[in-house]
Order: sequence, then structure tokens, then C-alpha cells
Amino acid sequence: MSKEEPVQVGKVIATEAKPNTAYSFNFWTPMDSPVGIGTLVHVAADGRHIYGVVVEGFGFTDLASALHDFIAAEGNPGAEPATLRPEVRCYGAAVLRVEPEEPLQPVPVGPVYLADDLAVSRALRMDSFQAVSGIPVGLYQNGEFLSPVYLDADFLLGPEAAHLNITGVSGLATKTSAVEFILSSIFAHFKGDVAAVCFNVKGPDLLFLDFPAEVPSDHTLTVRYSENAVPPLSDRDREMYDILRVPLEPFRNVVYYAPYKPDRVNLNTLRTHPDLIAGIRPLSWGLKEIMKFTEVVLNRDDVDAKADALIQYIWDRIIDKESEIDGKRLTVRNFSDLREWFDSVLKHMEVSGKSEWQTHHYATIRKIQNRLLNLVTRYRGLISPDETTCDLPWGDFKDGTVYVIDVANLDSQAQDLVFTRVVSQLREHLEKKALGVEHVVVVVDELNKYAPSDGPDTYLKQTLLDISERGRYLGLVLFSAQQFRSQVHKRIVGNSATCIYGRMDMDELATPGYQVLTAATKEKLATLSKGQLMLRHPHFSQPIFVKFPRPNVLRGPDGIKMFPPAEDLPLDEAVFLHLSRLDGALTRNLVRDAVASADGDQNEIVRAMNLTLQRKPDDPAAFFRKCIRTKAKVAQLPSDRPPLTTIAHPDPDDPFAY
Amino acid sequence: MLLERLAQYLKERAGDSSFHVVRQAGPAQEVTLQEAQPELRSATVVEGEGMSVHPVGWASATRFTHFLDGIERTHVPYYHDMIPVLYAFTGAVVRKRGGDRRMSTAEALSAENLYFPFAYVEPSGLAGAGIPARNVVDEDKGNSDPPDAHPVKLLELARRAVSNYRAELERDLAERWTARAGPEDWLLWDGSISGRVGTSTHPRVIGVVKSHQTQYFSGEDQWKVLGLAPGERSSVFQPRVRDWTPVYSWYLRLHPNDGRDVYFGLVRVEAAASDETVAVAEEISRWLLGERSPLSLPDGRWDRLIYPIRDCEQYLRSIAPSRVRIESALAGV
Repeated sequence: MSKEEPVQVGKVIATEAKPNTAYSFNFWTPMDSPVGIGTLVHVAADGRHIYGVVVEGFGFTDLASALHDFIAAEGNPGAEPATLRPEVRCYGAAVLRVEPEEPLQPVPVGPVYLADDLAVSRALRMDSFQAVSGIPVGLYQNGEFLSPVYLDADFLLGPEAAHLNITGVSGLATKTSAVEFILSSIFAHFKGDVAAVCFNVKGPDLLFLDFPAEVPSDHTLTVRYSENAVPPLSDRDREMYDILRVPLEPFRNVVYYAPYKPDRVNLNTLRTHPDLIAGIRPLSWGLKEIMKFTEVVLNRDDVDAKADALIQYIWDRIIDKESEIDGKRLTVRNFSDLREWFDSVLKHMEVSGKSEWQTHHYATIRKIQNRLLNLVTRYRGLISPDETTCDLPWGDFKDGTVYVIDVANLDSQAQDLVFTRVVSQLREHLEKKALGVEHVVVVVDELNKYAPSDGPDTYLKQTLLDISERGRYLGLVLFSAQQFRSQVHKRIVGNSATCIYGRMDMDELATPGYQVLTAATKEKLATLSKGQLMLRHPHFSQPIFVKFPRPNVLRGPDGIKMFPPAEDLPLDEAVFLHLSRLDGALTRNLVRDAVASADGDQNEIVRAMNLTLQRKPDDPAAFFRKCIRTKAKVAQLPSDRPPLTTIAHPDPDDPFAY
Repeated sequence: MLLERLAQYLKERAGDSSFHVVRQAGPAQEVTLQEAQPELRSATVVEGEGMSVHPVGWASATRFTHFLDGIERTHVPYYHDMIPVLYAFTGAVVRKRGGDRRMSTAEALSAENLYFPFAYVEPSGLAGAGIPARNVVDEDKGNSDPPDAHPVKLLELARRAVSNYRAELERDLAERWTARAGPEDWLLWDGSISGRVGTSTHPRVIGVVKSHQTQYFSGEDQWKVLGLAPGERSSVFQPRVRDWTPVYSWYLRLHPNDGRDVYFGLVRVEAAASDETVAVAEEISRWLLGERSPLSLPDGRWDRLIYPIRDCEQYLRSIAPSRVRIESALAGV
């Protein structure tokens, strides 16, 4: 992609006022030179090769004072002088690499060339890893030419370093787009196995990753793309994909998860269009799944030492274990069982007049009963009262797959619970090497909100801190994004080996975290356009500006226009929709009949549906019907019981007779 | 290169007590030497009856395309038997103003030499070391007698020789320019154009003299010259010169001198001694007024130094060895 001969664009200068050092140098260029802030340059002099990035620019003439120009023009700014003053462009560059590295000396005066592909590779020390563990992240633009820039997978996904953090103002789609493109590139180039877990925290951002940005003219969706004016990729985008050797396609394997709405049959997501809803898997957890995370879902003030001891007791001795109270044997497997257990314990204490049970005080038991059982109501849709659960495929994660968990419509506490549990499970499984893949990228947006630099020390913040500090050894990698980096916990952004900056707000750039950047670099950051970003990576001694192509996925807003969310479905229709995922031949009537047999017991219908979804039987309709009947004990009616009959001859004077 | 060779030459004579090396350079001398003493000369008015004042009208679009100037930079690197040896960089340049109104170099000449009286210092040793030397006594003019062995006087002679050599470079460049100039080309030369027939008679070579060491008029005529207002010129006159080719000349006030010195903004223009010059004096004056923008500030001579000439000086300064370079070259001696 580069020119065959390097192009000399300038000459190194050194003055007393602006001397060169071992880490910076100055040079001038002609007025029409393509050099600008962020340009990579190469100095070859005295047998040394110095690679640098332009970080500051100055332009000046021999005019010593504005007054001189004013006087000469006699106050008329339109006056044309007979001679134009010479104008020079001078640039300050930060040294990226020096060859040979020793002795480290100030940059010598010499010719300055634009960096070609080879020089870019050497300048960014990519020559040492490019072929082995390079992940293309974008393109450095050198005039008309584009040179690929690689990240080192060992420093992006571990074990040397890990994590990626993206900062940028909202609305330019840089953060989401950059993550999508980098994930595509990782899937295409990473030599190990890796999956991604993306939390969709707002709107439809990540809900159409399996649809391309554009379709060919003979595609079934062509008309729909056209009617909704979905913008196609540009030729420049295609060229960039080609240079970066990233397949021009959407994500091949995407699995969507969403919790239920409070009705527990309709999914709480925007991807509910009839054409797409079948692809969404419910996310529903029961008692056993969330007991370890009571700290997340319970009020901190409630969980004192005594309460914590009781919760621990229940977790260790009660759940999934047989216990006996007043001769009654109980096995707690779900919230309904737990309610029965609490009732039995409290009744026993009240009858026996004891204030303590197994060293736990009556008031503590009452309080925890209230708090725990209330979770089903508070997190209705996410937490199931019965033992039926729908969860991520722990132990069976697939390489190259994106697992999107839509938590956009959950309140912040429910989001905390989802984040915390999913990340904890990922960590546990990775520790045991039992996840199914060796690396997982966890994508979290809005880090300002979930791990702020100030505010309370939440369980979620601790989880994120834990990933960022220890995740690289496990293969648990955090790709985080936020609008204001300065407002995110320092240890999280500090542990991100790779940092990406999109267009930035000037107020944000004025914060101390950006003091290392020159004024010109800050100015450039404040005016970056879509598809441009600044990159910091352990191999790059200075930030580098690169361009990346638009991801070949349908943007959230376009997806919503093409596939508008459906209205909530009635119970029987929703059940049919869910069960039909198991058996395409299932008919509505079969399901309706089964639903009708529950006599309107919605909880029972939902339980039966979830049980069917969880067990995945060969005949879902029959299994579903059986679940309902079993619960309603219809099948257990004694055969010798006299049948219910109607009175053959009612008293005509009795107004209540029928 | 001369400085490096000289350093080597002096190093090789480190034990020779007849050499006294001056390692620390004084303030660099880089401008043309002023004429030694103010003097009076006569002149003949060739336009109208006697000296008069001519308003030239508004500044107009200038048609000067080329500009010529030279500089010299000197330093005494050593004394040989207490005879000063002067190092000098001399340079001259013709800078061209293109259609985009930007300046570029059309042609430049420069040289580095040592200057000393050959009568006192034998130049062959230096010549053997590849160091060019020039005699401070101009033998071509029949001055065969050795000058007084007074170091200050000899230094003054050397400086004058440098100045003369710089003027020679300028004349060489002007001559080359006249040989190649197109019909639309005009050369503005900083200084007097007299000296060589080819240049002083060329109709499109104009000189601008900023110094007024020589006064050509006295009494009322001089009063009229010094009283010129901005945009006014004097009558064209012919200075009486002994050695040089005759030229025509006139005074022009470029900037108002209210509250300032009488010479502030006053230049003397020289052109070929011809009737054509008298005919175009008005127009050339307007061109010069047009050259007032941009100003040559912060140069102290900005009232008389037009910007393109300053540009020539800037160019030559950029290629002349700096004081630091001179000092560093001699530092190891």
C-alpha cells in the first residue's frame, strides 16, 4: 500500500529555543506538505533511523508584530502587499523508536520522510509481533495511502496485559462501532479461541449484530433495507476491510438473551419483531442462581452480620438439602419452597415461644424472609419463583460467538445483578478451564455509571475492578467504554493496556488525565470525525491516530426501523411463540388447549412453559400439557370419586338454583 | 569548509609563537561598510530647470520582478606576527518575485576568503592548505607600496577589501541578470548601479541607495530634497562621478518624516543615464511606493529598506556561517 520510494517531506531543525532531544525533535516542511498532527515520520541521518509522530504544529512568517502588518496595510485588511511574506510550517514530533537503540542521543539534523508501511511497522514496534499475534485495529493514513496498524493479542487479550477502554462523546457511534470492528478483527485473526459477552445497556445498540450493513440486490431483505434508507458501506470502507484482511460480513454467530417482562412471558427487549423474536433466548434465574449474589440485590443496610449469617446458613444448610421442622420434611429448591420453609420456621418459633432458631433471632429471620421473598416481586421477569431457569450456556461457550445480553430495559439494580452474576460465572468457569473457550471479552458500555471514580463501592464496581486487575491471567478481558474517562475508577482505566479515544469533549480534555497530550493533539481529539480514533497500546510509545471502517453490521436505529418491536403478546400467543422454538410443527390450538386447561393460573402456565423450555422434550406440547396437569393434580383424581353432576331437577322457587 | 581547513592549519602551527589565535568571535560584522566619510559632490539636474519637487501620485502595482543585494560577515581568527588576518563570508543574491508574489532565489554567489596584506603575510602556506586568500591591497590599481603595519589600519583595509569583493559579487550577478533578463523583467538593486557599463546602462536595472553619506546638493536645492513629502520625488539629476559609469538619479520620500530625522524614509534612486529614465521616473517612483507594503520591520532601516531587499538579506544570512559555527570551528585550535 505504500509508495516504493520514501517521500522526503521536511528537514529536521534544531534551535536554541527549540532544541531536539532524545525524545522529541522539530522539522519544517513546505506549505503543501501532507504532514499534520498525528503523521508518522521517519528521519534517516548519521546511520540512525528515528521514527516519530507529529504532536505539535506551528506556522509563522517573519512578521514580528501584528502592528507592522496593520501599518503596512494602512488599516485595510483587504490591501494586497506587493510581496507575500515567506510562511513556514514547523512541526514538533515525539520519538516513537530509535534504531539502533543505544546510545540514546538527541535526534540529529537530517531529512524527514513520510512513514511507509515498513516504517509504520517499525515505528510502532509491530514488526516484533505482527505476524504472530497481530490484531488489525485500523489504518494509519499517510497521504493517500493506508498502512495497517496492529495490536498485540498478548497485550489485548492476555496474558502479558489486557483490556481495552474507549472514551468518546456520545452520538458519533465511534465507541460502539470501534468495539464491533475490533471484535470482528479478533474473531478473524486471533489464533486461540475467544467469545464475547456484550451487555446491551441502552436502546438497540447491539441488537442487530447478525445483520449486515448492506445486502446484495437479490437478498430477501433488499427492499426493506432500501425502504428504510439504510446507508451502504462506502468503497473506502471496503478498501479498508481488504487491507486489514477482516471479512466483510456481520457476526456469524450471535446469541441474544433478554429477561422477561413482569408478565414473565414477553421478553424485555426491543428485538421483539415477529421475524426476530424466535432468536432471543430468555434470561431467567431462580433462587440457587442468585443466592450467592444477595449482596448485590439486597440493601446494604439490611445485610448486617446477623443477616449475613442467616443467609449463609440458608445457602449452606437449606438450599437443595432436606431439612425437618416439626416433623415436616422440606427441600428448598426455589422461592416457593423457601417461602414454605420460612413460614414453617416462624410458625415453629411462635408455637414453641422460642425467640431463636438455630441461633438466629426471630426478627432477623423475619427480616430476611421479607427481603429474600420480595426479590421475586422486585425482579419479576428476571428472577423466577420456581426452579425453572434460562441461563447462558456455561461450559458450552463457542469460539467466535457473541453473546448479547440485553439489559437496557432493566433498572440499575437488576443490571447490577446481571453484570455481577454473569461476570462471576465467567470468572469461575475460566478459572476451572470449563467455560468452553479460553478467552472471553466482556463488553460494557457506560462505565461512568457502573464504575464511577466516586460514589459508593458497589459489588459491580468490585467485580469490574477484579476483572481489570486479575482477568488477564484467566483470559477474562474487559472492553469498556464511557463518555468521560476522568469519571471512571482510575484502577479500571489504568489497567486497560489498550486505550482508544474518539472525539472528545474539551472539558474532558482539560482534566488532569490528558496532561500528557500536547495542545495540538487535544485539539485534534476534539475534532475527530466518525471512524477516526486515537490509540494507545503498550508497544506504541506515543498515541497514534488511525481510521477504521464502519462495521458491517446493521446499526441499532436502522434495525429498529426495519424491524419495529412488536406489541406484548397475550399469554397463549407468547407461550406458543416460545414453545414453537422447540418444535416448528407446533400448532396454536394445541398450545391454547393446554393453556386453557390451567384454568387461568398464569403462574402455573409460565412455570410449565419454562420447564418445557428448560427440558427441551421431544414433544413440547405434550410435556407442557402434562406439566400443567401435574401441578393442578388433575391426573391424580381418584378414579372411584363420584363424578360431579348437575342437579337434574332444581327447585323453581330457589333463586340460586341452576 | 574553509573554517575547518583553517582550524587544521592553525592546529598544525600550535607551537608557533608567531600565530595568535582568536577563538572567541566578537559581534559578527555582516552589513556593508558605510562610506568612510560624508562628502559633498556635485550633480547636474537633467529634468527641467533646476531642482524642483514632483508629486508622483498614488502608489501603483509594482513591476519589479528581481531584487539584488549582498552581505558580508567577518571575523578575525588569528594574527600572524601581529598582522590581522580577516575571515569573511561574502554573498550576493538575486531573488525573484513570482506571480504568486512569493520570493525565491534566482541566482546566488558566495565565497569564503581570508584577507590580509600579502606584503606582510606570505599566502603560499594557506594556499597549500587549500585556503583561499585575498590581498587587502588592490594591486590592480597600482598600489604596490605596502600599507602601514598598523593592525587597526590593516583591519580597516581588510574590511574594505571584503566590501569591495562583495560589491564585485553583486556586479557579477547583475551582469548575469542583464544577460538573461526578459523584456518584462525589472531588477531592483540595493545600492548604486554604477560600476559596469552593462548594468548601469540597462533600462530595467534600478538602484536604491539608502545611505546619504554623499550629498549632491546644497543650499535651497538641498532644502527641497530634504523637505520632500511622502509620495514626492526630486528632479532627476546626474551625479558627477569620477570612476564609474554615469547614471541618473533622483530622491524619493517613501514614508512621512514628521517629527523624525530629515533622512527618514528618504531614498536615492539610480537608473541608466538616458532620456527614457527621465520619462519613467514618475512611474518607477510609484512602484517603489508600492513596495512599502509589507514593511521591513523589525529591521531598524525599515523606512528605507524595502521588503524584498530585506528578504535578500535574510536569505544570505541563512547561508552565512553563524557566530556559533565560526566559534565552534576554531574552538579546538
